[in-house]
Amino acid sequence: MRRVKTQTILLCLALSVAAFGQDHDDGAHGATLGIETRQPTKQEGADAHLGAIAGRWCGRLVTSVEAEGPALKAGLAVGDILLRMDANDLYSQDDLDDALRVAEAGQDATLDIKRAGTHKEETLTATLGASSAAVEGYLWQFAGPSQLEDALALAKAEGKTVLVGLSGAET
Amino acid sequence: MEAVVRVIIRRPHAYKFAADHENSPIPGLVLLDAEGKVLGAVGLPVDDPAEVVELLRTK
Repeated sequence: MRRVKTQTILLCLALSVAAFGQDHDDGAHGATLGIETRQPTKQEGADAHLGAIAGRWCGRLVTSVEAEGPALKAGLAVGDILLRMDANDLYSQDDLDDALRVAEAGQDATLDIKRAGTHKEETLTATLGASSAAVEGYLWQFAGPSQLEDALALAKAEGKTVLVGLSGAET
Repeated sequence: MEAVVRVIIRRPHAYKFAADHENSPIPGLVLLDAEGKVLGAVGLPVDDPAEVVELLRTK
């Protein structure tokens, strides 16, 4: 049943693309920070004084940092908590994946973090790397509420409407 | 050239969006004009994919 629902959603999105065509390159190919993260535990979130909604902490605990990767070069370390990327609050891995999926390699990203141990808040700038992961499914141009204003501004400038995909998936 | 700009918003942000915009189903697709006004919406999954096409044809 779940598979049928998923197929229906994908079909709808494919049809919507077909209905309007996709004959230009919007530059959204995906990027990487070179990190792995997880949801902070209840104790870790409390210790770092993280914000929360519905029991989910705002922030991703960094569990590994790729050698010579964009995050390492920016100064991010294992144990740090990544709060936001380009002003997008990160409540889940999907939030981070979305932000990276709509970003481009070579672009500078602003990372708001809390340092491991001290929980001191800092802002880093990382130059994103190219993602080796294949982009699957529907291509979104913007991700997160902080980019909605950018999407509306682009729509106004180009005489377009804005299609907002609202996901309720638990991730 | 596409007639729409595409934005994905996930939970929990989606709940705030829905609170700020009437008739915004989660999960679903919402079409806004450039001022942010809701032009139409459809909840997902849909029985008939034509509903999505019809939503996108709304101007």
